[in-house]
Amino acid sequence: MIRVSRLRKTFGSTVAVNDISFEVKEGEVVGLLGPNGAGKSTTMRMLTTFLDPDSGGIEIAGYDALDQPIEARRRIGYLPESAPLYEELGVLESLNYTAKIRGLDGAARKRRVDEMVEACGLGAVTHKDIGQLSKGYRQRVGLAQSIVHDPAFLILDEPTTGLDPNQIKEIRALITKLGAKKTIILSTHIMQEVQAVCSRALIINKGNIVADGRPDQLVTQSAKTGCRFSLTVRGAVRERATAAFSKTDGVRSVVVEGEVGDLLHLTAVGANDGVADELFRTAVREQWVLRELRLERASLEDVFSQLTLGNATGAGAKAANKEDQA
Amino acid sequence: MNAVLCVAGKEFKTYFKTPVAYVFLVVFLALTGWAFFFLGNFFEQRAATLRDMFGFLPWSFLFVVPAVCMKMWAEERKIGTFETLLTMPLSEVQIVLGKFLAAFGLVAVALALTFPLPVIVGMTAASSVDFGPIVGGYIGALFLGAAYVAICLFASAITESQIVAFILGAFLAFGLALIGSQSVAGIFPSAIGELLQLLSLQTHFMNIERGVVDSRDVLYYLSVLTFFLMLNVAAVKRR
Repeated sequence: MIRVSRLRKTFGSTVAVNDISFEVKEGEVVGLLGPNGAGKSTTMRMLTTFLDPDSGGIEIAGYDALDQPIEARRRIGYLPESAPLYEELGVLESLNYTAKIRGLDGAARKRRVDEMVEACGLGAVTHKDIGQLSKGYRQRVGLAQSIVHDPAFLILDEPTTGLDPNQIKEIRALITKLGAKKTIILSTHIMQEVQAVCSRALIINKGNIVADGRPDQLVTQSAKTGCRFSLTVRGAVRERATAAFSKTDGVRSVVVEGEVGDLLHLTAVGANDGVADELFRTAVREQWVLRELRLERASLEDVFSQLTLGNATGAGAKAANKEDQA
Repeated sequence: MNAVLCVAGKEFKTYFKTPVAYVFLVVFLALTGWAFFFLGNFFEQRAATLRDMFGFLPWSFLFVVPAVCMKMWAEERKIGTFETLLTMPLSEVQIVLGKFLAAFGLVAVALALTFPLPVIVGMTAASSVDFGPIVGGYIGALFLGAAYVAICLFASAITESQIVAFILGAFLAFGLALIGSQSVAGIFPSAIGELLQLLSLQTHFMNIERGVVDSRDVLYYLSVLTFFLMLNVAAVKRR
């Protein structure tokens, strides 16, 4: 169990983390989401006792992390952003060093290091120096090192940043595998990652928690505004189509998105997903050819944009976000 | 203690994985050899002491000890391992001591490798050899080296840049050595001059090098050592 209460950290006049509280139960895989500079890394650095908070408390497995940092550290495995490692050391040397510092010795250490090599798929690179490894392998060594002492809690700061799509898949699979018996907090700004590996998402913006829940819950909550349908019909006149679909049962609004030749693209917002049937019937009644009818699920990305950018949404929001970062 | 030795062992081994240790040893031995043979005019004098070699140590250490210490903390900060290291179940004191022992160990190895010089003195001296000052000289050299290492390690702890760490370490050590020399201490009124000499790394070393291991000098080196190691711990705690 990790219990964080009213945690606050400032750097000069910048408030990095503003009075956040949350709990993480055993076995949870929590995704810490937020735009760059939201306070994810700072939060993790405080959880791992690297940074001291200005105020607030952290409890790790019953230990006060501020009073007994060493006890807290024994129970945590931590992989900082971009997996920092000692380039000059060999893969085995590096694992052995961490294991030794973590208090493992003799046969126990050897067994554990072998297990890590096996679990993290490092067999092919044991004879290499870390400086020679690809980014994907470095990440694996970093992961292996962070769990060599079999900690109950695993804290991973952007574990897949900078990897190619295949490596991302591998690392995610590895996290899922390793995470079966651990409590994990990982930060990311990739939404699919949260949907792929996390049982819970915490969205942080400007040092505050703005959402907390299961990823699908968050999506459903934000979808209270209704279900969005994307439709394409052929043979309809713009005005006639808008009018007919607007009058369809359960439809709240209809917007024409565009016209290509005799194809008309529209977006309709309905009360629920059953509205699709009604839209279909309307098209049949009007003798329009229905080329496409698709329910657009709100994604975590939409939720994220809504929560972290106020009322801006969609493409505009993404552009604004990019400008923000630039 | 185990953890301290573990950190020390890793750091010490790392020295020999990079050219650092070899360059350090070669340059140090070359400087020391030069001081012994040429500064001391060995071939003509056949002196029965190593005084010239020891006398040059505060200055040759100035070049080589900062080089041995500069990466200790600065590189950890630069590549980010600072964060993993400081979230290991170790106290800052243990890590600082581990790193200190590794760098000091390398300095001790360098000093040990000068053993042919006393042997040469023993074999060739024109007069009988008093080994007291030679043993005293080595003990003093270890203390001096330890103090330099502590100073340079602290310099490395407050920057990400190894070059800054080198320059800062050399500058601090140079300053602490220089204030005791006549050319600096002499320009101040005698009270201040004496105080400066009391604080100087070099003055205390000259006592030991004469063959007198005085508890005051030992105490002085231990104080410098403790002071800079504590500063180092504080710098690391500040993150």
